[in-house]
Amino acid sequence: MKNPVLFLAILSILGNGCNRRTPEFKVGADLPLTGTVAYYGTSAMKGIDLALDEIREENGFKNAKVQAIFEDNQGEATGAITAMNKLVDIDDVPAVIGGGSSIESMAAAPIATKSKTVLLSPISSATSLSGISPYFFRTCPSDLVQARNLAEWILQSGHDTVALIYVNSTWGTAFNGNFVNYFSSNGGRILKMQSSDPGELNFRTQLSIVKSLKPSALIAIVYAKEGGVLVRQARDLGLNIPIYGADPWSQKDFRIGAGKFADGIMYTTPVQYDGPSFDAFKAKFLKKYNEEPDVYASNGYDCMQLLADAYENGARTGPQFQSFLNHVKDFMGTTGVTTFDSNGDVVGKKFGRFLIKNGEPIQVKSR
Amino acid sequence: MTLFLQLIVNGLIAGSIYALASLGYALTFSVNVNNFAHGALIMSGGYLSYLFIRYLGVPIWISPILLVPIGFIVGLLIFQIAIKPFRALSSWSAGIVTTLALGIIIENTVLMVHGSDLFSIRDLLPAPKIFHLLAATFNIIQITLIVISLAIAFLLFGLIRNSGPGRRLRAVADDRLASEAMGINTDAIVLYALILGTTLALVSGFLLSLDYDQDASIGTALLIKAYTATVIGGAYDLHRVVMAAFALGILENLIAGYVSTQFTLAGVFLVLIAFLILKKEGLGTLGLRREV
Repeated sequence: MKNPVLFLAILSILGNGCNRRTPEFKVGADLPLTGTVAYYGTSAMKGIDLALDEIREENGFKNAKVQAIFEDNQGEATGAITAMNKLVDIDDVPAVIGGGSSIESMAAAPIATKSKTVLLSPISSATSLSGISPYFFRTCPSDLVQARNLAEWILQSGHDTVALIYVNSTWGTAFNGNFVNYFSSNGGRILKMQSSDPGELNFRTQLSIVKSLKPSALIAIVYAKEGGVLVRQARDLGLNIPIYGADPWSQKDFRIGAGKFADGIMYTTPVQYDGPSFDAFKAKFLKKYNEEPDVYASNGYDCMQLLADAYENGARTGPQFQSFLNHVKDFMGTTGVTTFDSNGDVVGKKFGRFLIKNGEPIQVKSR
Repeated sequence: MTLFLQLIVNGLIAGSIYALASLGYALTFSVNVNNFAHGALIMSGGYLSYLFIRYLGVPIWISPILLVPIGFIVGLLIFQIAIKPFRALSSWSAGIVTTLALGIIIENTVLMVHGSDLFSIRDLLPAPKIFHLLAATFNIIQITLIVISLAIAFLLFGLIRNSGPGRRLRAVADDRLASEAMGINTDAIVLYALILGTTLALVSGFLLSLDYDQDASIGTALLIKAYTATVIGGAYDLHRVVMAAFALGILENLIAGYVSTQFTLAGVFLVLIAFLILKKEGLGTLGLRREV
């Protein structure tokens, strides 16, 4: 044999052919593990890892090699594309959990369509993602519901002239659009709408303008860290009107950024499902990580369990996973019951209203 | 009118930050070194102060003094690693890629150590006293920032105008070859500018974190502002760079206030492009003749 490398290669191929390969259940994860929205990805990853621990113990997977391949997309469209391409082309996975913020799902969805790979998001909630790809599904409800809930709440609280600051991202602009539609067609008036760039930590100009217009409330559709800074700068400027935000503000990054000014801040976020499946999950999560699971963690867990269910039911290729998700009915998870509609949106999950008091969020009963 | 006043005040506050960021950048720019790590250096100045104050218990006003020797060492290292080996290329762009890489390394190091969380010295300070002048609101730290940034600018003007190395620096900025022919060690002058620039960057990082919330990624935005002010101001006249920095802060706020926040950055770039087309050398050509 002149070429030892070639010889080895042939040997290994022959060797492989003789062995019966252990069955492999492998999924990808295209999530932001670093960057400005790292909390999305790291939370979801904890949920996924916990689910994997359990799946490995289950009967159907005893002899299978179970793994999730995590790729960090840094919360950016380009990162999400690179990660998705890698997972599809190199790791050859039939299904990917992701993305985190909506722009990531927006960017990865066309690759999912082209490669016939399922993209199942635990977090992306922008309305514009509904029906974006036959292979895209999400376990978190669309923002259409959240924006309406928030608008209703603000109107019920008697604030009918408001100012709006939103982040210039897929999520922020879509949320903003839904909010404005519902709010103004139900008697509310928006004095001013202003945008800010993702990651921007200076809101003084926008807030000065808000202050000069004297609205009765401010709505800030921005991410967690930015939101905290915004709230603090608003109070610094003497802007003492009620401030409302959306689900990222449920994160501790928000409360850290806002410091003592977090008290009195209000936001809407998907409610944790209140049932035995969640309680069991919470106990296991506390044991493994020594912290309470947030809604992104429980969605990550549910995504992983859904895919494992699909595998147990014989799904091996992307289209088989897609068909399973299309037909899944009342899947009982830690976020409640999951059923997808024809757009890949989850049906019937609810948002709750929260108020921060003494540094802790408490749920406000809706009237 | 209420809004106008507040916008001007906000513009002055932002302008003082941009002035601090621009001074060090313009200084190295004037001797043909494009230090694209400048933004990351400012960020690391804020981060180091945060570490000093939060974890080592250093009194707040001592931490900028600690930053001076660090600036000296880091400036020296940047010169030896990222600038000197490429000086032979003698091109205007020498060092752009190396300092850009350096900036990314610094930013990612902070991201690795601290994550993307905020680090703000302002949390560790007592709540600053708030003033109301007519309809504008501002606090004592913001006024201090404006005063200190102007003080640092005048200190630097004096240093460049009157000290020996300052005079040689102006000569190198004016004509490098002629200066070399006259026996000036240009490498030493570039090193001098870089050390001064790096120290300034670190100290301004400390100053701006007294008022601003920072995370690892603020450097890029500051670099863009510093670059814009330097180009508009014409680099070779630091007075005009400082003026341009303040103008930039005010302009941004006025655009945001009366046009749209979506148009702020675009408006700033339009001004930059207009300057590049109408007056290639920026405001500074007049100043250069007067200065040298």
